[in-house]
Amino acid sequence: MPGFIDRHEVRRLVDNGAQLVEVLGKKQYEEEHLPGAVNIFLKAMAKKAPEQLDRSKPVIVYCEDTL
Amino acid sequence: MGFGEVYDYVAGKVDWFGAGWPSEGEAAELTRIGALVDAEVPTCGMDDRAEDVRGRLGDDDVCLVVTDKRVVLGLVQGEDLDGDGDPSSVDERPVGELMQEGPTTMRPNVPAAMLAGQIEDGSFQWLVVTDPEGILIGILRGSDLESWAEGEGKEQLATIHEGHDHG
Repeated sequence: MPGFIDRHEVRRLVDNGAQLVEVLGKKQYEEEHLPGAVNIFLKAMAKKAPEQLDRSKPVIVYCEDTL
Repeated sequence: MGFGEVYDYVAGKVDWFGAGWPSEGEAAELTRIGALVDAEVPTCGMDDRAEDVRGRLGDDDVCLVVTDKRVVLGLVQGEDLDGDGDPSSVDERPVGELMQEGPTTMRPNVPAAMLAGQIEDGSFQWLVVTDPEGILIGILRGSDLESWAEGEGKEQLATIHEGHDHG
């Protein structure tokens, strides 16, 4: 179960090495994303996360908003 | 998947960009209204006396009523403090009783060209800009947006129009 965090905590964690993952589609990601974020579409997460992310570092996922 | 520390930033992009924080991507270079805002807008507290606040209004004829953490609660203008033509009748009243509550606000990440392309010149004097928690960032003057659109924003504005024409 992931922990819910706000943007201040996101910034703190990223400054300490956390990985940011945008789970939206490629087009939305390319238009604009958080600094340093990588794009892994939600439906491809199970396959791609182990390939693209470092298991030893915290992971922060986000999408458009709470909706 | 074997990831130990996983967090969900549930408020997401809308929250991050809405705070005017930096971004990357094709749209990241667009000028946002946050860059055109004047942060030196007069402010006051709910309990400040009307007579004291009247003197702070300045050329924009506005004073934002905020909490001690600068969350916007309302605003007052000259007409709110003139006591129906008898200003001294409201001199002692706290502005919290006279203010316009819950003013319309915008987030700083709105592209300036998008806003400039949607409004008529002279259609607004200013807009209140806050972050997603309602904390005051400043005011965007219509005249500043128009100046930007006629100067360095011309190219961005043309791009927006082009997108609409083709879109």
